[in-house]
Amino acid sequence: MKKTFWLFLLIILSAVVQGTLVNPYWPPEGRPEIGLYLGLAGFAFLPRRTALWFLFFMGLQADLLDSFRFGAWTLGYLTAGGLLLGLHREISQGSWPAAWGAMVIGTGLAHGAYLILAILFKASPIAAHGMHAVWAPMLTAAVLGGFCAYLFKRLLFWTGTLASSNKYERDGTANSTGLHFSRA
Amino acid sequence: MRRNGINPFWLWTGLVSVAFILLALPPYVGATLRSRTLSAMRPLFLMTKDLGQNFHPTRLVRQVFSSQDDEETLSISERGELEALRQRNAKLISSLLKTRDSNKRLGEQLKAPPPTLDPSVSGVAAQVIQQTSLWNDPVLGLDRGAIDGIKLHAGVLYCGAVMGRIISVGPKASHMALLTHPRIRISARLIDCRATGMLEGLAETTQTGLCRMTIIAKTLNVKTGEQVVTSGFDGSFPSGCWLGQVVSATQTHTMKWDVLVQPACGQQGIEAVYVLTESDNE
Repeated sequence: MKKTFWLFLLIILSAVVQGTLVNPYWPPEGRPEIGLYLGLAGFAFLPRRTALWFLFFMGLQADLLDSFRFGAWTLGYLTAGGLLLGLHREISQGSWPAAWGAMVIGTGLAHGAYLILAILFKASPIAAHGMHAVWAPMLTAAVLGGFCAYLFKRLLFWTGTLASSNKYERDGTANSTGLHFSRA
Repeated sequence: MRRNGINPFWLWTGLVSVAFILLALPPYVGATLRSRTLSAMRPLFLMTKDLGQNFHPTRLVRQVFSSQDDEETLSISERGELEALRQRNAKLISSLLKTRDSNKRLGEQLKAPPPTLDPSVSGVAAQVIQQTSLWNDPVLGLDRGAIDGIKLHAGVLYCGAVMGRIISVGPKASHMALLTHPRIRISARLIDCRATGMLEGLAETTQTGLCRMTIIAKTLNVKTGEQVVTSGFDGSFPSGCWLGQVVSATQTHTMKWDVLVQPACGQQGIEAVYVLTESDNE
């Protein structure tokens, strides 16, 4: 329950930070999406099922903030999550550089899926940006992703969601460096 | 190794299906959810002091991605101001149309001059304020009454032609009946053959819009198109005022002729008339 509470709190805080600190001061081109970064970084630190749910709710909060159609961002986030699910064994090293890489790749995939959906639904203001709407967020993720991944890891440690352990378990609840998802 | 719970791949498939279902929802459902969620989270936004007070996430995104000025990008105060300007514009257009109509009506009044054949005839210009829609009751309301010198059974002219007679008088308003009214009787004369008779309206018959002139004579040399004027014998109109023209003539009895007359004045398009107030024949 404790880890669920902290993850949900993180979802709400990401929406507040995105809405009050990022959107008013960051130009739309290449605007960082806190929820997407944290959701993708979750594949590096959290179990796959937990990371999927975390990413799903991050997609919902992005749709609630703004999207051309409700569900578009959720589908984009999950598209990125699907790829990371296949690469989970490689990125679940428990290190923030792995999370950083997951952020960059996942951002491109999520924005690409969103762009395709915008073209299919004829949302011309968004589709008009073209591939610029994909490369710019990827560049921002490459610049800021490392910092976000490091902070996310520290936050998970601080809340007790992530705890270190000398015992290595390969049952999907831990990673190769010994960090395991806290069962407290 | 212990595995429990759903396979992550199937979980991902299920979540993607849910996302597709959300995508298939009508747009207004998403908008409703969005607005309610943002309303619930607004206290959190306001906690960031002036940053939260000026935050409108939807408007910010739309302002960025919108390629043209849209009403939806306006703030609440700007929309209110736009609506107020639209209402004021509508009122100004309405006032302009009323002014134009009043100008045209006053101009029509100026076109109703008094008869110049008889200088002793005087009258007053009156504006038509009421008009009935039934052809068997051709009555018009005028904005002049007893105060202005109008009397019962006074004659009414329009551009010098006979239009009808006053049938009721109030202090400040009166009613007039057109020539086609069944109760109107005017003494008339055929201008060429000089035969005199009584003109009455045919509104209650099938020949609405026409008048019938009854002439008592053994022979009548009347022609179609011959002009009919007032004889001046009834005291309401001076002699020689144009009534209409002959449409047809039929001998109904040995000494009786029915002459159908097309009135000179119709009911449509008349906004001002001239009501006779004095006559030498009184």
